[in-house]
Amino acid sequence: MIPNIKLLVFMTVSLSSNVVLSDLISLEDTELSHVDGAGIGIVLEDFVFEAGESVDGGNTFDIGGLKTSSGGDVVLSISQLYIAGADSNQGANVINNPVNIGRLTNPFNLELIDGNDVGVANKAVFEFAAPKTLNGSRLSERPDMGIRFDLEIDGNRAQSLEAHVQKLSIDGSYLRLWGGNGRTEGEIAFNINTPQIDFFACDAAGNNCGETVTFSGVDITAQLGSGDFQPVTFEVLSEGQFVFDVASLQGKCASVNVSGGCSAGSGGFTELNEFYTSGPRADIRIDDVTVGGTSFGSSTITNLQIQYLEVRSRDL
Amino acid sequence: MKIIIKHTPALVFSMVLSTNIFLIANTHALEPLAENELQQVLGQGGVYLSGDITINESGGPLNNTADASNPGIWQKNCTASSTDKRCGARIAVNSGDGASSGWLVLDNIRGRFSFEGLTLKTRPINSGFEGDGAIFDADVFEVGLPNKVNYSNVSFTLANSNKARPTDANFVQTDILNVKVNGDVNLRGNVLLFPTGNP
Repeated sequence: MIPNIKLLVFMTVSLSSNVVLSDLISLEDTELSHVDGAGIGIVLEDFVFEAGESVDGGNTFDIGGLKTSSGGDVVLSISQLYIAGADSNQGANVINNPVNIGRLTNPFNLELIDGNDVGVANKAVFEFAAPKTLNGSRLSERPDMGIRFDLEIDGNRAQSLEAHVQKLSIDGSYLRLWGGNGRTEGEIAFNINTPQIDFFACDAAGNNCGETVTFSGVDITAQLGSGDFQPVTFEVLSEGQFVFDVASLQGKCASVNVSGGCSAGSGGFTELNEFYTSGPRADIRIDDVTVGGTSFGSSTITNLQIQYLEVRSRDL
Repeated sequence: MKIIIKHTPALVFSMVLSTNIFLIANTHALEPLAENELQQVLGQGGVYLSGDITINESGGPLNNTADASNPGIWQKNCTASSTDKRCGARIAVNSGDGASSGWLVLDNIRGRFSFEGLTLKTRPINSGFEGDGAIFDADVFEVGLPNKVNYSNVSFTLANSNKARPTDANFVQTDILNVKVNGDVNLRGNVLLFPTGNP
């Protein structure tokens, strides 16, 4: 994507200190219009990340703050959190298994883009985007990720839970943020593809593991929000509660007809029509779900469209 | 050379920077360098950094319990036996929407991070990367990750709050989760940064 806005203009002027042979010449508009402020590409080369108790004996990596209904502390004690190359064998082969994430010719990208190109009128939009799906990450550039953590309730280690994702690709995902109506608004797209996700539980020592729940061939495409027509907002209310909101479509139509639809030709009809034909939607496909080797078959959700979503935290 | 900076108001940190300076004795008279000789001189090699940062290990300036006569200062017990510690640094972010909105807060940020061998340099890439290097054929800014980052009693709390500061009137905060890290984290590889688009 080539941004139209001139975000950054760097001008380097070299002056010879003793003999100046030429005068400064002003730049023409046509010359300046060729200066194009572009984004920053990010590629991780030979990357490995590993945290948790198993890195060196005696480490701690705890997430706390949760309570049981009787008031006991619940602590998630992370044994291993890893990002490594493919075939990590569920976290066994991590440190000598590096991975390149992102491609030099198709990197992760941090950029200010022209809002008019993405449905946000007359605004600059901040975008953090994963590599594009066209010529996307190769199989060797898709990392394995996983977590093993112990559930500790009231000081007792209850259980060890594990989740492992193989060859994860998030090509095509992005986060866009802009300022609108005195707040931060955004649009989020998830594009997740992985051949296999495994979940299983073991005893407190990490042994005697139970049956594995496996999701094979997972393909999730989901877009939340649609430009400034249906922005996503993240807010904290004055009473200290968190609200995640995908804006309602209520009131977008100027004239509702007797059957409850939007009257053709009335204000908002074109936008609503476009929203329902090619607006944001979610498609989820899982080729096979197996529990302990027994197949439950495939599941598919397509054309899931969100008209309104509000997620709000509450104190218990 | 060792530089130690201590007792800045909000956080206390110390950094150790090592620099090697080579002095070359020259017995000849000074002579002007020709343009083509200067072109052979390359400023390169990059920077090797080791760092050691400690943040709010024993509370920040708001936690001055010595001055009981000053009610404006927010005071909490920061000792090891305290059950309501709020000693660390605080970052509060408001995503907007007027006076009725609240704050997303990273609270109680404290602990010590240290690493050795973070490198910064530029590097031309014109090969490798399964054929992408030859197509790319340009310079990148390379941040070499330090292999190991040591965390010593690093903790923070993610919370929602109705006020930016705990000293504000009618302050209410809901803690969502606490994270505590102690020990080593493996972090290997390079982060490559470069301009994209068609400048």
